Amino acid sequence: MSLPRTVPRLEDDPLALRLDLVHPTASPPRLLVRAVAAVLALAAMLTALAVAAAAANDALDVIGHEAGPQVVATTDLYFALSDADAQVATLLLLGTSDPDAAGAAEARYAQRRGEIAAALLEAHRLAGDDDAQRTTIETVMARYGEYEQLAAEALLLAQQAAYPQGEAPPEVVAAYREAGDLMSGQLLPLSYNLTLENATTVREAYDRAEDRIDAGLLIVAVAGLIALAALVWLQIHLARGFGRVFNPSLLVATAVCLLYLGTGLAVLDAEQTAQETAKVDGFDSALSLARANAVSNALYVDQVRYLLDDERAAIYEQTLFDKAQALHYEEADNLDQYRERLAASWSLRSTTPPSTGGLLSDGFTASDATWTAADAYRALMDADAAMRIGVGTDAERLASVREAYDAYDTALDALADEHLAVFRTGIDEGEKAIADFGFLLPAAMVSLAAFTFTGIAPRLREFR
Amino acid sequence: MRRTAPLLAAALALPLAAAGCTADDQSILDADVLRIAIQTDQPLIGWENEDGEYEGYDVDTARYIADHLGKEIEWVPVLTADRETVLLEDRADLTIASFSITQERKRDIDFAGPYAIAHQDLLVRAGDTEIASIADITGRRLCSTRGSNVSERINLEHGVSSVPVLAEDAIQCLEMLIDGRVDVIATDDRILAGLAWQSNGAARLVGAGYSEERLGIGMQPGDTAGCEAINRAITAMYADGTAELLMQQWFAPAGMDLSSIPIPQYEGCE
Repeated sequence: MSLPRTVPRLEDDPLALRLDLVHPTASPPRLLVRAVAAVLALAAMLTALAVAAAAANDALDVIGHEAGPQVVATTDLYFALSDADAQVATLLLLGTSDPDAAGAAEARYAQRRGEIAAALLEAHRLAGDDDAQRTTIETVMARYGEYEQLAAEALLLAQQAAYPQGEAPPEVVAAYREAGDLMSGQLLPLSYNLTLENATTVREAYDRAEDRIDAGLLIVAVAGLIALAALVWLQIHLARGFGRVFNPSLLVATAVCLLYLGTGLAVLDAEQTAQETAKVDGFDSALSLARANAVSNALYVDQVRYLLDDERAAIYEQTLFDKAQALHYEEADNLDQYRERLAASWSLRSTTPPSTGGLLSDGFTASDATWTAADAYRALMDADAAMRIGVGTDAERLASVREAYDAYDTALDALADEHLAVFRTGIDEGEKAIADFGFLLPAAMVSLAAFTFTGIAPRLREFR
Repeated sequence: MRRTAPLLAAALALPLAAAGCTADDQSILDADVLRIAIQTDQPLIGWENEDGEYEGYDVDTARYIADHLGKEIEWVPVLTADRETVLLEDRADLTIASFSITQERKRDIDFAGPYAIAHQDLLVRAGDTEIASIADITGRRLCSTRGSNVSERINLEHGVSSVPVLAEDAIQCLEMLIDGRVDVIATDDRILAGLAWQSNGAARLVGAGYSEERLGIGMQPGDTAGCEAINRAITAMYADGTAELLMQQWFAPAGMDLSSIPIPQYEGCE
């Protein structure tokens, strides 16, 4: 196989030259170089495919099974915490007046306490080996213990004072303030920030996967074209050098290469589309609505506190206004103006309610659930205004906002479920697209190399 | 093989070049130096001391964040009115200057944080016991610095009408309060704490806390990763006790109630 012996023998044969059977450039080393180049390019293409597919898979894991669910778990935690606080404030507001409503609030408080414990455990489990998150969750656990104790003290004081609705004595209000401040100033922000931290993890995983798939698409395309060119080059070389127009093995190798190039590009593209759907249409909107859900419950708590604590009523009205602006922005100086603008901009029935930004309006789509949620939100703001004007007993005023809030909460859940469904479908489709792909790639590599070398093997034998 | 080698090299280099082109908007994380806009005329918050050094709660917050991100600081002193423009005109990367997050401002710039929760409060003469809440300023003379329209806002937002008396700045307000030309100053409790501290006991913080302000870190729009990194720095600042330490250091001597220091709930980075 050494160069000096084989080359002169072929080129010096006048008959072979005259019959044009042997192309002057044909030689085993040249053949091998071309075959090795083709196989290397094929290997590069398939490796790039495998790397991009693995990156996509990692991102799907983070988005669909780690940080994604953690976002849900931490918003559940926020909601349960905030609603527990709403029940405590409700019990303190009602006093001895409305035993039915008080009984319902007590039952709900007990239910929320169970949910808080479950959500804390779930969040702790999902935090895995993320130390910062675990520390935060442990802080929430400890502070929640303090909250329960402060709430119990306020409820005990209320029981001893036995007052009618809306007449909570100062020591009860003061005891509740301590609990409420702990809730709004520590527990809720900690859980809300945990949600955002996990949303950051999702975004980072998504961006990373996007970059890798983009790079993967390009490398696969370039390497695939080089592999094809190398196979064709080899084919031409054989045709010219040995007078065979088609080499069956190489034809199969070329076809398989084309097939994998096409499939690979299509799978990566489908993967990218599925991830984009899951992230942008599903996750981002679901996250926005989950945050809307949390903020809305805190807004309801502000309503109960407004009734309970006269001295701080102004501040609870202002924090409620802030939350309303965060849910759906309207340029307004106060709640009355806000409701007027809201009524004006949503009175026309367009496909989606006009939005000027906000956690609630960012989740709007052209679905029926969207208008139901928008109308329920408006009804809640109207009920809020009626509650502030103050006709009827405190229990009645609270009951009307509670009813409006419950209706709104249900509508919001329905809208959020639509986005969650899009999110889950996106993750499922993404996972389906790359399932088995990882297994098929090594098999493809082996078969392509085999076809290439069996294609040149008979020609190599001619030199012996 | 000699001819394929450059091709392969080119194939490998292409995606790198492409990745470079698709990079997001500029991020503060890419720079070594952060240009941070601060106030230099707000005692306890951001001001220049006798030695010509900047100090105060906001200045320390800026230092903590820059340190956490591993960046050097280039200070950009700003007036209250320029806090937004320095960002829009690319003269600063961050504004840490008693800057309240509002939905209006969020339309032009982004906010990381909040890094602190402040309350609107009232400052009165030490001997004045009539004013205990926002409702008590009805008909009283309220100091209004140029362009702040504080009286009008209180009327609009809380339905309390006071008599506005114009002054140049907060320092003049304090002088007018002490010599009796106005009865009350209304603004961010941290600013009032600074004035109370400057008055040497002649003025008193009421503790009425009639409105909550979320103080954010102004950013040029579009830098999601930078915003998230700052939020992580703020989380660390609260988790390691620095935030509480700074509050105690700067505001406790001025008589601010620090019994429960709230943890800020982030706005979120879009």
